[in-house]
Amino acid sequence: MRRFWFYVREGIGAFARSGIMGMLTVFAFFILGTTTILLLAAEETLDQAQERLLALFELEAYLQPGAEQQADSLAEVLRRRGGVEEVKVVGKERAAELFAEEYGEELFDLLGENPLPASLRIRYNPTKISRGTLDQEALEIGKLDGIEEVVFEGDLLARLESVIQAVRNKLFFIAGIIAAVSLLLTLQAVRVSARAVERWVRAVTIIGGSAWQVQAPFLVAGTISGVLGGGLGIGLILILQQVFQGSGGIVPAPDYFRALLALLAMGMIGFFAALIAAPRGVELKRVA
Amino acid sequence: MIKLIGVSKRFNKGRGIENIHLQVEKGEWVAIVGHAGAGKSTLLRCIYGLEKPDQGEIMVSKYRLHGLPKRKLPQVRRMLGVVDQDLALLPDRSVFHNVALVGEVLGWPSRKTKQASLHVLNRVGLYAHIDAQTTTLSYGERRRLAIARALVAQPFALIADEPFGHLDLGTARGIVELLSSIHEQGSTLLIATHRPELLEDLPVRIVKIKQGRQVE
Repeated sequence: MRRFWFYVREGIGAFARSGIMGMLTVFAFFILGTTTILLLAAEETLDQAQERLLALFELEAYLQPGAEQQADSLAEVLRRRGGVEEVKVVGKERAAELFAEEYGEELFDLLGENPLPASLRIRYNPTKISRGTLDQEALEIGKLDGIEEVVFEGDLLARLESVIQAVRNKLFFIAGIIAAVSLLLTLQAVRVSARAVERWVRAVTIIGGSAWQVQAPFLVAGTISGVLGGGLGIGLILILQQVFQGSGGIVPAPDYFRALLALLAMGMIGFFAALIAAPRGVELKRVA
Repeated sequence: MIKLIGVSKRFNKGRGIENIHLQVEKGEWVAIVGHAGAGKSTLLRCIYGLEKPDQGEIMVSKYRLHGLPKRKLPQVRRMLGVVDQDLALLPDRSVFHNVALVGEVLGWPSRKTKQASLHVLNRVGLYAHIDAQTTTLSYGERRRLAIARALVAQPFALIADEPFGHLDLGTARGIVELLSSIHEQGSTLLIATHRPELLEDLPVRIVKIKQGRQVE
């Protein structure tokens, strides 16, 4: 326990003595922490956007002529299918009313006798489906007795989803670059921090400190940098999320559990960056 | 006992040491004497394992340094009290805490660390300055502090690189007196200096080196 507190105290000392390079390390972790949480938040926003998009689409299954009597039983069969949230029966009369509302009664009058078929409008739970599922559902429902044809705006949905996917890919790419740059910056900063405490390394080495005793404080300092910088970045984003949560529904609510995991990850990255930058056996020659 | 048999260490710039033979017996005081760049520091650094000789054998007590696993080097350094040329004092700590660092590194109980540190600071004449920051000390006092830190773990030999470097004559003589009293108490001393005149009339064996070679 005495040794443990020695490492902690010397680690804090090493961090404090590293001066501007220590601050640079913290800044690198600030960028990394901010990027990580922004990426998670953006990912969540895109997931929500995709769900909302799916929620807008419904399958419309037109019944065969003379199959109106089967409408209720078919609706019951469809309600039992996985992912189905709601099935509405639209009879011939209701279809006529909707047509008239959309295109005007004059146009409907020109059609003479009501030619519109009854249909079933099927809405899915957006969290339980994907566009691929909708394609498959349309195919399977189209094969049921009494169903003439199943339609949905599959092409439009595909186009919108490809836009979301493109944004997601770019986001990953940009976040990946920022994360890589931050990591390199962190490695270099920890390495230079080791130079900043050269005198300490020299002192501990000549008095007979082991390689581990020389290295351990750097690991503590790296972890402190990670937690401090990551904490600042993550904290800032959480506060911004809290503040702007209500504006337009595009800012996701703060996820404190994910934030805690990200903070732990920052601490671990700091630890491993220090492990690489100040490897075991760091001695005078390395820092002199 | 410290023993060197045909030790050589060369650097790219041409400096280094060549075929050094030396034996320092228990209780002996040996001074490596030579001009700046003669190889004195390289020789000492080889002994406490900061440089690896290209050739030759070094024995420190029971340890043969050639082929010694790196993890065992700290054990050798703990047997030797080392005063580095630049002293390696920590400027942001007090005199006491510079010395107490040894006890902390060696895992001593805090009571033992305190007692040993105060004892050795008293021995080198710095007891009155235990709370002072090292930056407020004179050059001579800093040398004394580095010697105190080297002695606190009661090493079997004290190795000091240029203990009189950059000191005026009066202060340097004070350090000589301190080393002399340490020697009188039975310690083995191995020092490197370019000021051998300070050691006249003392029981010191002088070993001269010039351009890395032993001349006497």
